[in-house]
Amino acid sequence: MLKLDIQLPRDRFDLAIHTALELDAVWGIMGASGCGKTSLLRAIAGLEKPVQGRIQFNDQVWMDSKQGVFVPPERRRIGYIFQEARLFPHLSVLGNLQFSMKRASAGRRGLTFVEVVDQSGVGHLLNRGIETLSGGEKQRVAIARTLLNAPKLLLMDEPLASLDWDSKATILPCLRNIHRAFNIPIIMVSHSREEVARLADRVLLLHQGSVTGKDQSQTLLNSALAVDDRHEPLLSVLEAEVVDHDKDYGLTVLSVEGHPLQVHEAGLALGSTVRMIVPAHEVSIVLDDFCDTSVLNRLPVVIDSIQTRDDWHQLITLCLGEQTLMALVTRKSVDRLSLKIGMKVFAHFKASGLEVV
Amino acid sequence: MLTTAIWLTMKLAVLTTLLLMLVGIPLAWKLANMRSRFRPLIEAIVGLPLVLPPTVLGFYLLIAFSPDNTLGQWWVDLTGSTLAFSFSGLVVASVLYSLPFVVQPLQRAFEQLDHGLLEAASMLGASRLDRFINIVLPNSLRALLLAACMGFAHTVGEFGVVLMIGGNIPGETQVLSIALYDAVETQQLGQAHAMAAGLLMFALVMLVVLYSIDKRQVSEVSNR
Repeated sequence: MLKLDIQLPRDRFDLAIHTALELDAVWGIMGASGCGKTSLLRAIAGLEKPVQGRIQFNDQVWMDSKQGVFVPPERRRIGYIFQEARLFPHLSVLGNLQFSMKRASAGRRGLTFVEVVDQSGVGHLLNRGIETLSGGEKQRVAIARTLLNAPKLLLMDEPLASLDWDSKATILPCLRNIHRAFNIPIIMVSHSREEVARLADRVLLLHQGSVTGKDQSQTLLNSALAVDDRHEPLLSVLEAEVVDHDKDYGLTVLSVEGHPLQVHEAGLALGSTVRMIVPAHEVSIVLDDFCDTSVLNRLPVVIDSIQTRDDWHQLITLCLGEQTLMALVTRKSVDRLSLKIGMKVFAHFKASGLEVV
Repeated sequence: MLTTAIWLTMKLAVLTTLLLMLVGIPLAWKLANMRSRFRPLIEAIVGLPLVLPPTVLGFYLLIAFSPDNTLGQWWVDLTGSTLAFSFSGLVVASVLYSLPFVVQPLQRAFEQLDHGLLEAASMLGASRLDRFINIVLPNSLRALLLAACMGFAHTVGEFGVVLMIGGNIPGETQVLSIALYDAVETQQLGQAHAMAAGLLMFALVMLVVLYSIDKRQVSEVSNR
């Protein structure tokens, strides 16, 4: 448990956080830019000096300004992945990794060099100089360097923000594996719903320095509350169970609230729970139970809300048992089908439009 | 006379440079990270030899070195000899006189250092000293070299301070620049030519080295 009870004066508002984060999950801290996400992360790390209050990690007090306790960052054993990789330019890739290993926490079961290098895919870069690496390679080396330090907690500040799509695609699975394989609690800052949907189990929403929401990531992401950036791709997250493999067609059958769904994704263990990312623009709405279509996935849902997104589009929130799904449709369709709140309809989306994480 | 003067000059410059680096590196780091309002005052005191006539510095040092004063008395009690008109006195004076030439380039380099690297190192468990030795110093190598060269060259080139506090004692305080002055005064023009040309060549070589270090640093920064 990470107990936070902190104040930090900032230019336009004070950061004031009073909450506790359970450490068995990947936490995403979300909010518009300038809401204090990075300051919060830096306060946890001990990099922000004028913080007032108290921070406690499990049974260790990292900071208590009333009692004058301040554990310096180098003794908190936190791994911090910065937006920029911050590799040491006078050392090679291997030198950077060795710098970290030499200072790794004693007594903690360290991850072996081979494990980490494998997971982060930096094996072929070891002898390279820092200047010769691409942005994605640098960030992977930074991740490997942090893991080799055997941290007790991992903080990530928009680790993917500066990367192109290809680099993201290789780093995301690597980050996802860190939590699963090495069992390190993770707190990540992000303003991207997509990043959070892919990585975080739970989300802390910040607005102007205070906590405005704290919940399971899919609940928060699917609620309109978190939709404030009009340029973000809209998406919903469904939790599903892996029930069958359809080897003939290369499909995996999942069960969402008792309804079957088919996705192109191999290697999912039967019985495991997975999260699916469904972009809102991939979802279409059909009035009847109509199955003569090439679209494989069809879920019976109830319209929960209809919001105006812009002049021509409306965002429809659909209930599926306990879970929600979002559909982005044109205003014309809403009028033509006379869609109303409470109507029972069917949501269709293609197997190829889904992503399983 | 010539070889004694060369030997003495080299000894003085090497010793002074070592002491300068020992004093200058921590001082420059302290100044670069100082937020106190006393910072300009300390910078001004360190920088004084840049604008002060060397004779002024020499005059005050001469007074401080006198056994009538605390510093001079303390030195006499410690070593049994006076600081004034001694090699040790020259070393102390040279360190003060060349300090800004070492501190300023170092301070500038330390100020330009990416503090994000230091944060990254502390998150990996590196203590303050560890960060300084393993991150700050290796990333300031050019500035360190530059500072050492400046300190060395400036010590070889000093004249006024040495004359004020060291006088002209062969083998003890008669460095090259003084020996040259002495040779001219006593009409030994051949000796004077040799020394003048030698010092000129040394200065030229040193400056070429300095400028090439500086250029490389500039082009490296612009390549980033």
